Amino acid sequence: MPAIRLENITVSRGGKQILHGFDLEIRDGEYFALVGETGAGKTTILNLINGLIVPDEGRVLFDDKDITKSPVETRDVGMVFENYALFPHYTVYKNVAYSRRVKDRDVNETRKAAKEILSLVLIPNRDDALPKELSGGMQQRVALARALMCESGILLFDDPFSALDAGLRMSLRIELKNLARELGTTVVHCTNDVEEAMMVCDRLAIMRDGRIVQLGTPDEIYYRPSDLYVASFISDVNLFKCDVLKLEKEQGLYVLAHKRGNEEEAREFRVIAPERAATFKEGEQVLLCVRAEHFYINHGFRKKPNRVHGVIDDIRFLGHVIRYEVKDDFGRRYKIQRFVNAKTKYMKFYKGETVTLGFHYKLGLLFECPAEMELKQCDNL
Amino acid sequence: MVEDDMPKIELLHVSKTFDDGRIVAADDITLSIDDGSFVFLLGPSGCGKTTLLKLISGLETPTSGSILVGGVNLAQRNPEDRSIGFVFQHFEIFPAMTVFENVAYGMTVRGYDEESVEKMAREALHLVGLDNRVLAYPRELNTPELQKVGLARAIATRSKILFLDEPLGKLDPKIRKSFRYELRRLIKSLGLTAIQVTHDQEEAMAIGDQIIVMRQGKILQYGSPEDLYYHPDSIFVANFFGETNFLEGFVSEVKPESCIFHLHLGGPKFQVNLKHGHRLQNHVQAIIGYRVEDVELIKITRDDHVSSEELDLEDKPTLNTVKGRVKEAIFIGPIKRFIIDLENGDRIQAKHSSKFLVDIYEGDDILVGFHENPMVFEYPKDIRAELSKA
Repeated sequence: MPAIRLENITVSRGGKQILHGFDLEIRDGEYFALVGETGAGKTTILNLINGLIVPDEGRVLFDDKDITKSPVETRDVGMVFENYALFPHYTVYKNVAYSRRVKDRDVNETRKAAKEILSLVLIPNRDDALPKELSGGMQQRVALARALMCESGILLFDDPFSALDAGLRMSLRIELKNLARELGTTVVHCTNDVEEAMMVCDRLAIMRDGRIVQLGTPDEIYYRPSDLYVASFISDVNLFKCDVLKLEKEQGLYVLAHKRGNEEEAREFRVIAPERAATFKEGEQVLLCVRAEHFYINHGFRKKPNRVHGVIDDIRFLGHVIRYEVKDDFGRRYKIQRFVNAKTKYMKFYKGETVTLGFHYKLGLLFECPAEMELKQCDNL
Repeated sequence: MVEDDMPKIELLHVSKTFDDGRIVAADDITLSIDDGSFVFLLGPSGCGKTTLLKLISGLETPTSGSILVGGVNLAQRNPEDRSIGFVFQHFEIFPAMTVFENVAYGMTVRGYDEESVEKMAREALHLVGLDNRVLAYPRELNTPELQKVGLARAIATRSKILFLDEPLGKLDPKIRKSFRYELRRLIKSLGLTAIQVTHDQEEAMAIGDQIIVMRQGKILQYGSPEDLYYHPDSIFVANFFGETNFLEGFVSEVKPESCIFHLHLGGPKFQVNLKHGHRLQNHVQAIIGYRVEDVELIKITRDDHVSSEELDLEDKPTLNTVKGRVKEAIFIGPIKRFIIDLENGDRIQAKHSSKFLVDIYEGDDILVGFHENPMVFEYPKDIRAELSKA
C-alpha cells in the first residue's frame, strides 16, 4: 500500500493562505491521524490527497509517483465522511458496488468483491436494505465498505464517528483500526477528538492554523508535548510561572521557585526533564505545566517540594474519573482528575476540605514562558 | 405569586401526545425539580426530552396533567414571563446588532426603562466575561463568545430559571470541555435552577446535579450522576453511562444477599453479592455488569503462579478470576485500555490509569479479576433494545 507525500504545498482560497510550504510524509500502511480544531486545515489535506484540490504550489506523491495533477477518479482513494454520504435511493449492495460499476468492471467480479467487503465490515444479509432503514452505525459501516472498494489502498476518514453515540464510537474505532491493520491500508483520519486519534493511530499530527505543531506517536505527544498548545489540547493542565533556581545538567534536574502575589516564601518544585536539559538556564523564567490527571490529592496540609495546597471548591463525578477544582489562598484554581474504580472509590474528599496536591518529578512539563498577553488567558496564573 | 421560592418545578401526571394520540412524547410523568438544581434531560433521539423541556418551559401545553412552577400552575402564567431564560444551540443572535444591543433588545421590547436596560445588560455581559466585547458585532466573535452572548441575554432579566437546549453543541470538543465548567460555575454562582437538554452523557455527568434519563416518553431513572453510575435500575441506564462489560449466564444458590453466577459457555462460577429485595430466582438467566475500570488484570508469572502482592489478597478474599489473553493494549494519554479474550470465549475490555505502569502487553496470558459486587440484572425480554443507545 502506498506511502503519501506532500511536498512544499501551498493552497490559497479566497485570498487567504490555508497551507504554506506544507510538508507531510505518511508511511506505507500507516494509520495516520490529523488532529486540530475546526479550520486548522485538516480537510484541505484530505482533499489534496483525494484530488479535489490541486495545490497552487508543491507536489503530491503516492509512492514517489507524482500525482499532483491526476484527476480524482484516477486516484481511486476511499473516503468516509461524518454524514455517511450514501446514495439514499440505492440499496446497501448498490452503494458498495457503485464505484466499480461506474468503471465498467465485470459484474460477477464486482459482486464477489462487494460481498466479501460487506462481510468484512459485519453487515449481515442487509444487501437489499436502503440506508434509511439502517442505524447510524450500520450506515457508517456501509460507507466504510464502499470506501474499501477503492483500489488505491488509501483510505481517508473525515471525522467519521462524530455523528455516532459514545459507545458505538468506541467499538467502531477499534474495529476500524483492526480492519485497516489487517488489510495493510494506508489511512489518514481527521478528527478534532484527540482521544479518538490516539486510540486508532500509529502516529498523529496536531495541527493549528495550517501548520503541524507536533508530529509523533501518541506516547510522544502525551509525554513530550512540544508546547503548551499541544499539552493543553490533550487534557486539562495546571500552570506555574517559575524561576530556574538550579539546573543539574547530567540528570536534567531542574529546581524551580514559584512565588505569587505577596507570598513571602517561594514554593519549590523539582522536575526531571533530560530532554530539556539544554533548553533553560539558571535564572531564566519557565512555565511549569502539570496535567490534571498527574496531580494526586491528599487530605490535609503537607509541606514538601512539588506540593500545592488549597481548599476543594467543586467535585464532579464523571464515572471512572472524579474531577476536583481546588482553590488556593490567592483564588487560583487547580484542576485535578482522579481515576477511580471499585478499589479506590471509597477514598472520599469533600467540598471545603483542605487538601495537598502533588506530582511526580518526572511528570512536570517545562515550556518557554509565553508573553504576558497569552499568560493572562490561562485561568490559574 | 410566591416569588421567593418560585423556581421549584413540579410535574404531576403530565402526558403529551401528538397526531391524535398516535405519538406519545410524554407518558404520565411525575417529577419534582428542586430550587437551585442543575438538571439534565438525557436520552436517545425521539425519547421525548425536547418535548419535556418545552412542556416545562410553557412552549407546549400538556394533553393532561399539570405543571407547577413555584406552586403556581404553568397554564396560568404569562408566556412572556421574564423569570425564565432560554439558551439555544443556534444562538439566535441578531447579526446586525452589537453584543450589547443583542442583550438589551429583549428588555427594551418588554418595556424596561433605558437606565435599567443599560445596567442589566452590562451586568450580564460582565458575568459571562464579555466586558471588552460589548461593542463588537457577532461576526467578530468566535463560537464560545457567541454562546456567551446567548447566555448573557438569558440571564440579563435576572431570570430564576434557565432552559438550555444543547448550548455547547456547536463547540469543538476541547473548548466544549472547558466551557462546560464555566457554564456550571456561572449557573451555580447565580443560584439559578437550570434544565439542560443534551445528547452527551459525559457532559451531563460532568456538570449536572441531577440527571433524568428518558426513553419512549417515560422517565427511566432520575438521580445524581453517582446514583446512575453506581446504581442503575436497568441495563439500558447501565449501558448509557460509562463503559460496561455485560456477561451472560445463569444464577444458582440464590439467597437474599448473594448468589452464584455461572458464566455462559461453560465458563467459571462467580460469587456475587445481591442487593436486598432483589427478585432473582434460582436457575434463571441473568446478566452481570462490570465497569471497564473495575476489571483487574493479574499477570501470570512464568511458573504459572500468581504473586499474592499483585492479587491483593488481603483486600479481596474472593476475587473471582478467569483466565484470559490480552488481544490488544492501547495507550490513550491518561488511560491504558485492554481488550481481553476470556477462556470461555467472551471478549471484555479493561481500562486503567496510565499513571500506574501496568506491565501487561498484547499476547500476554493473564488472570482477569472480577469483584463480588457487579450490577445484576434479570435477563431482559429484548436484550438488543436494552443495549442500544439510539
